[in-house]
Amino acid sequence: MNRLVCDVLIIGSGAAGGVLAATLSESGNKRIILVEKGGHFTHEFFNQNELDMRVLYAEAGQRATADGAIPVRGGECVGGGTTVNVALSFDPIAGVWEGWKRDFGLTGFSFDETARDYGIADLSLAVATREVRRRVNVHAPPDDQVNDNNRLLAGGCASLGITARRFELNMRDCIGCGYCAEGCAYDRKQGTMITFIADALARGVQLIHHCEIAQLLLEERAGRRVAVGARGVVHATTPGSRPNSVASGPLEIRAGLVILCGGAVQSPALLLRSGHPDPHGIIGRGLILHPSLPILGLMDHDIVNYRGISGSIYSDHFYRSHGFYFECLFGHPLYASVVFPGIGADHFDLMLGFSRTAAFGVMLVDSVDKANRVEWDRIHQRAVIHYRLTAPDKERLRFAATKAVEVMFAAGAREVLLPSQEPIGALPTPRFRAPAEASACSELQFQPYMTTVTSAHCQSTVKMAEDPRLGVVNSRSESHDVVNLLICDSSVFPTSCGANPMISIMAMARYQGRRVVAEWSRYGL
Amino acid sequence: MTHELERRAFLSSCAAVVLGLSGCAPLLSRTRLASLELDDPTPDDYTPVLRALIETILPFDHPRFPEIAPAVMEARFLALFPLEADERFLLLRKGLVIFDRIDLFPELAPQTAEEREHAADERARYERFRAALSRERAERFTALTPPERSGYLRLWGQSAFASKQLFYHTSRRLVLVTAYSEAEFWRAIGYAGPLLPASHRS
Repeated sequence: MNRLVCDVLIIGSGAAGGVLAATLSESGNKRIILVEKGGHFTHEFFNQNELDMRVLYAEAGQRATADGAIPVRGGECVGGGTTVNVALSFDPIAGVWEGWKRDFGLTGFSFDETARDYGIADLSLAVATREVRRRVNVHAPPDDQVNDNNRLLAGGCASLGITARRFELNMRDCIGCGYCAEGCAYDRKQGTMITFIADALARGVQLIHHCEIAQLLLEERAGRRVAVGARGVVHATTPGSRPNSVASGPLEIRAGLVILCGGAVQSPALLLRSGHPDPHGIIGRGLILHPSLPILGLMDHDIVNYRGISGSIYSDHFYRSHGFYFECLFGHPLYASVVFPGIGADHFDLMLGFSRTAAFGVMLVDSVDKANRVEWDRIHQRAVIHYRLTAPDKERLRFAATKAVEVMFAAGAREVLLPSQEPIGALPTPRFRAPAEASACSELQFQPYMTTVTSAHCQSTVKMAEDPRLGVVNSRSESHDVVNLLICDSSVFPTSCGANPMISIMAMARYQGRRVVAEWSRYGL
Repeated sequence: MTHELERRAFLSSCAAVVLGLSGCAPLLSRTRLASLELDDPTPDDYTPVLRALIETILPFDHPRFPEIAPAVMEARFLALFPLEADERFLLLRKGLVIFDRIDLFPELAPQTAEEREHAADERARYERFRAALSRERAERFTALTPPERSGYLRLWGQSAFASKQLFYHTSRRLVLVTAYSEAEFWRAIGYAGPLLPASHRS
């Protein structure tokens, strides 16, 4: 067995882990190891082939809820989700964090740049967000980078008096190839791999990829449980990946401080299989997915849909009143073929209209239900995701679908359809030929499988709360039950962060990283 | 077809279909039991079903469909998803054999309250489908006419039972992934393909 020793072990190299590795390495005097379950694939590997690029995703892009009904996409490679997402960048939402302070007792996370959280100079969520935005170049794209598909959403919204906005994106000089979700072959998307992780590696952080952590090492010391490292296995390097820094085989890493950044599926799974105390039965519970509903519009003319920036226009018009967004996105043929409904000639005719199809998605900010959860299946050694839409969320989704169909017609669609097999009203399936038919969406039942619902924003399975009955970690991201163990990723959000989570995760990681650097002694370092 | 399925084996195997097709997940205990109850089908058992399924999901007779034979699509499917060589596909192999047996469709007992609520509708839909078949004694998906095959596959796709839905969606997905990862399908739908940097193309 390979044995390594370090000051800080960071498990997971996504939006959180990459930022933490860079931030902690700024102090320059700590040995830091960053481990990643997936491979280290860089721009020369990204060939824009949907099938080949499945290797960048958890379970080769086939991860789904336990009943198979909802795909749960997530990056599993160096950079994690930031390598395969479409760069949509929302700052942390002040109202959401203020709500967490009120309802979960969180401290710190000031939105005032002059604040000194925990008495530490320049420690505020505002400063952390600003620093993250600068490093990954968050900005709104110019007009000439808004493609037809996005213009149609903007136009449809405008026709109905619905507010539409320009996304901010973490890109630099995007050439508009349209393949963000297959990894950026041009290195223009500013994910953590080419920004924060590159900074960390330049400062001596050791990256170990293809490293599957089996369990955290927890020891009893003076009556307290203490994290002292982790044990796992380094798999053989996948073809196309960069070489690894250690040989394949069993690996044990001893560390003074362990920071878990595995995401809202893998982090609770690792805690549960490692025997992390769970006195209140809350680890893994209350999963948020941001269920999303694709809306397809069949136009009479060709449009630019798969070239250019996938998502540059969104609408938050209904966010405050109903908790959902319209977000413009488009897929390439392999993804589209699965989303387009039907079989045989019906399906092929839709595919023949690929270049005349507009699309955007409804993204629901779902509510917490303890029955929605991540479990660790000890027998089969895998994380299992249980999720069902709650009745109130279904009601909001019906309203959202109705409005979305109206917007697509207002954008000029000849027909609008939802990827669904549900008969609604007089319609055998949700395929609408007139705006007045949109009201039939009120009859959608969202039975599993019948209507396509997708997801990619897992959150809230290892919640943060000062009260140990409500959360697994405190406001410093420290486990309530295990010393020298931090959990810092989307799993610690007490509820949904209210939007696409990347920048919220990165800002939180930057914030906690700066705090740890100011408080090394708190961890005996 | 050499396998005669016992009704009991079918019932438990449907659970196997659910779990096995869900990303080829590892077996749960009850599916392990099902595995013992149902012999492992051979390629002679399941490949005719796979071929018929491919011919149902993809419209080879469509005037704008790429010039490609069903046998070629089947070979590509098996190259991408090696059903025989990879044990993770054991349950898909079994699922195909079960799917072929039309008479077994109404035999699956509901597993949840939701499914119990729809059981009568499920049987009624099946009976309507059977009544419309051109041959009274048709027992196999592979023996149906093309429109009947489409109707039977849709019966699975519109089922209120999770196991049948999952079979429909998984088999459909695998066939479509096989097709639309190929350049001739991209050309047929007007998709220009990747736009790679010069360094990748050299």
